[in-house]
Amino acid sequence: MTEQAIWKDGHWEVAPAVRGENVPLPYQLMNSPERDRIIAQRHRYLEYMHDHFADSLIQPPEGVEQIESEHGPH
Amino acid sequence: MAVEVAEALEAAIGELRTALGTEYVMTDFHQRAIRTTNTSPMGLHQWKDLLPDVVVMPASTAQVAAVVKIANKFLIPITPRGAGAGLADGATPMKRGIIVDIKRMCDILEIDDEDMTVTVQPGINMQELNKVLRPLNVWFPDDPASYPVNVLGGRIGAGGWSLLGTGYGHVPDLVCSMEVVTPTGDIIRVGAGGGRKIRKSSVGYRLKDLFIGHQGTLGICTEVTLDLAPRPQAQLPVFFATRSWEDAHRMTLAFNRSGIRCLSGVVMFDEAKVEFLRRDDEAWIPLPEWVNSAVATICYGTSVELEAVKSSIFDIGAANGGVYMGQEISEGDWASRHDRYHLAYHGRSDGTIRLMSWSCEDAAITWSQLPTVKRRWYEIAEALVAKHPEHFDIWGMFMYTGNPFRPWGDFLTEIDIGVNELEMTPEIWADWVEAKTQIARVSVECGGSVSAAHGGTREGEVDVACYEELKDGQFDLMKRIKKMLDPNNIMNPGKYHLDEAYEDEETA
Amino acid sequence: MSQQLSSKPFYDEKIEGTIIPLPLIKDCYAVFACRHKFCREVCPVYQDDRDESHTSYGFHTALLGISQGMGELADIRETITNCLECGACELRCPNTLFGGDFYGASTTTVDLVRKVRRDLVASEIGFEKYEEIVATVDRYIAYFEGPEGDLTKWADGLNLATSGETMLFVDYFNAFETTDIPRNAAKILTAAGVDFGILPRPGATLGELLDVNLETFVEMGRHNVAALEQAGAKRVIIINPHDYTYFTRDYTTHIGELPFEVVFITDVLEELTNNGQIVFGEATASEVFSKVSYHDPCTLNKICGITESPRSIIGKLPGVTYIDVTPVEQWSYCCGKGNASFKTLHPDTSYKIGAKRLQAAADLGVSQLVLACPHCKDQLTDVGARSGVAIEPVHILTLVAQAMGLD
Repeated sequence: MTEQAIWKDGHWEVAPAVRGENVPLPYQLMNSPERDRIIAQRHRYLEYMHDHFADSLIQPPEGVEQIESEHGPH
Repeated sequence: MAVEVAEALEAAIGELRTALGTEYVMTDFHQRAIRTTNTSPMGLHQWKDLLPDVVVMPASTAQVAAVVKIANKFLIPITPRGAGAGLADGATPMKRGIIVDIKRMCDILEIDDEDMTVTVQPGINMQELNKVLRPLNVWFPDDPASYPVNVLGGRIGAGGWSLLGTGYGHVPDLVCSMEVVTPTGDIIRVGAGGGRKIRKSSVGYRLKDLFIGHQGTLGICTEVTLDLAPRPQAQLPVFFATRSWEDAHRMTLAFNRSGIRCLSGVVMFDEAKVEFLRRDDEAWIPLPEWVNSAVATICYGTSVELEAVKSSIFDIGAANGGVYMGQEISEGDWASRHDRYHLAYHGRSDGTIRLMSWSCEDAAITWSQLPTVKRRWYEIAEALVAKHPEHFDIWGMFMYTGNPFRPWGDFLTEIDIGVNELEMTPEIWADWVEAKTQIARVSVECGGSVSAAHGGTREGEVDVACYEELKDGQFDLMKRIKKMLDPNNIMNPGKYHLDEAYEDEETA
Repeated sequence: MSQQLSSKPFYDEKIEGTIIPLPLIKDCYAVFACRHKFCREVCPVYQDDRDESHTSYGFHTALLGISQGMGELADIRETITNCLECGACELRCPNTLFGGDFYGASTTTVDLVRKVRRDLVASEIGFEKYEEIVATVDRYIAYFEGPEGDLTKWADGLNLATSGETMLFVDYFNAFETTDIPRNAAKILTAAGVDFGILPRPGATLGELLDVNLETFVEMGRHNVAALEQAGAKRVIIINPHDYTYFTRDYTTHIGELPFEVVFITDVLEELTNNGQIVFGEATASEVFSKVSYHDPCTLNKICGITESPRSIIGKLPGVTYIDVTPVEQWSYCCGKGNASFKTLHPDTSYKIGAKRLQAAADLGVSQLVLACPHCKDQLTDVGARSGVAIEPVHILTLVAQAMGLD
């Protein structure tokens, strides 16, 4: 788990301590619905790119050991 | 600019306008400025010095030949330019002159789904091409990080490398034949056979290879016939986390030796790359602390064969200390492979964000040498960052299988470094160039090549490429070939130190 | 859909000749730094002319070049007109798509293009065909000052209220150029049992104002917000997707959070079909069964992210076979009219982009292309007539009204 990010309103954001004078936060105002829109479009885009390269994705074997995140959603 | 040079340029621009139409001969500053850079870092202090004098956008082979002849008549340099997405400065004009932007030449001339070829103009993008090919159930399997943006002409000029090259071949393996406008304006065809579609022939010299990867120094490709492949039914990206990079390295060898034919790529992520992804990638942020490195395997093929091999993939991963990272990372990260690494906000200095561009080495290194190269590269990069912590930032290493059609042996090996271009100075740039020289030298000393993907023409590595990697007569032969084909040194002068061919009569 | 805020207040600081404010330099550099130009192939203008000067990378890099002493604002007065303001590039930019949510910093090319055009106007440099755009604006603004009743003439005979908790907002283009669209919307809502009103005198909602006169845009916006609030609006239904972007994104930026919910008509119709307030009849043998596809308006798809409700509604229409083109594929599509001034600025390119879009539909073997935007309808009808591509552009409300037997 990194200390560089925080979980807020259902998504990850850069931690305040990592911002600096070069971070555009003071310059750009963005609310949660806009963040949600971007995330939704990203997921839609990734799905599109899978489909672009092949007709299907093979599923992993059932019961395969899988990593579990220690904090937050994964 | 000397008066006679300015007059020649003005006269040349007049003739270019006659040949191409005024609209496609551009001299405004911004039209030139946006076609100066490519994807490798450039201190903004250098920008003005690299501006071309004029940009032209030809629409046909005849127009390209006309431009080249005008350039020869007035002795004005030409730099061919595709997408400008290379990392070797190939499309950056070093001697001003004419940028030949080939992106208007983007037609598909023929699709042959029986002999499995497609013939295109060089300005077409691969993703757009594959959209057209999809209904025919074929695809052109060149998949660089720049897949959504790059164009075929640039890919050929750079001798490009594909993320799926291990399964489907890289650009040099996928070109059947080409039409090329030579530096003197002649139009030739290179490739075997009486037609355009023969892949393997034993007749004559392999001249086609001469016109692949020349960085625009030997001509401009104006038409190319490409090898197609059946469109994959299915894909299986599987990412494994490991507790150490040594585990990842060992696991990769096991995959190399697995004999799985549909394995189209294996990628290692080292410790620093995992830490880098934890900065801002939603899927990597919440990973547990023990995740130190990663290995990604990518299979493409029919559904039946992928279903058949998937248990082997997971077994090899588990047997070598890997833990499956789940579908979100495996599928999401693979799908975002082209786009994920281009954010200027990735840069950090003293723990806070600093806008940086992305420098990516792309050496070709054999598996056995990877630990040595990795250790020595980090020594160089860490010294650079220690000296200039506000200007450089280490973004970790990737190592991708690079052998065409075979998932073993060579690895495209990159160390990614954030570069603060906005605040660059000539002094700091000199230190950067020196670091790049050292990095390139390590590659060659370890038996590798400076570049697997982009070419060895960048400042810093070009000396090592020409004088160390291409020693024993290769560089001298390059110079003789260059002077023979381009007697006026018109085509992309300044690249690969080929100007030496015109300084030293003995090489002529 | 909630109101989305993505605003860069430093865009308010005017570019003077060669002086680029520092935050804007960094903003432009963030796009330049990528240099892969993911914004390129997705741009409908670039697809036509293949000139990367006319892309997000081109615009940002030109401004960065000015900041490095290579030129001045006047040098890009022509280039900056080559933008549809469709939003494809800013969405496709990795800064937005792969990090915008995380860093709270995204690429905002549409706002930048509008800002540069306004700065050119403010600097008395102007740009190509600026006067024609101003004339268009003046013609529409005159409606606001015109006789009582002109702005609601489209609703004659429908007996609509002028207040209510639900208000239907009808823009000038719909009110004067494509009156069947608001009439169908009103008939459908009435038939579904929705109580709603309309404003007797709505303010202008012109994209052109964002290109040349932000002050008037905001003034009109304030009028709309106040009038809707005064009419008792808790929910405002929008039927022009361009208006939807103004209400949910531009008003949020320039006016503030709105005191009512804003919904697009297709989202409302999806609700009404799901809860049974709208019921479509069965297709009869005498009806023509049609094969259709759907064109995502740039404003809904690329700028706001609304793509599902139109597809859901089309899927429920009787007698219709639907062939989908995914919203992501359609990031690189546009009808060619653009979000504001583009058709006026570049009529030939506009036509070619529209013809390409219609041909893409024809290649699917459909007979109709369903639209959800009056501007797309206007443009593609025009393009269809000129090009001869035998695809009928039809507005989704027309099909819904037909299926409800409201003709």
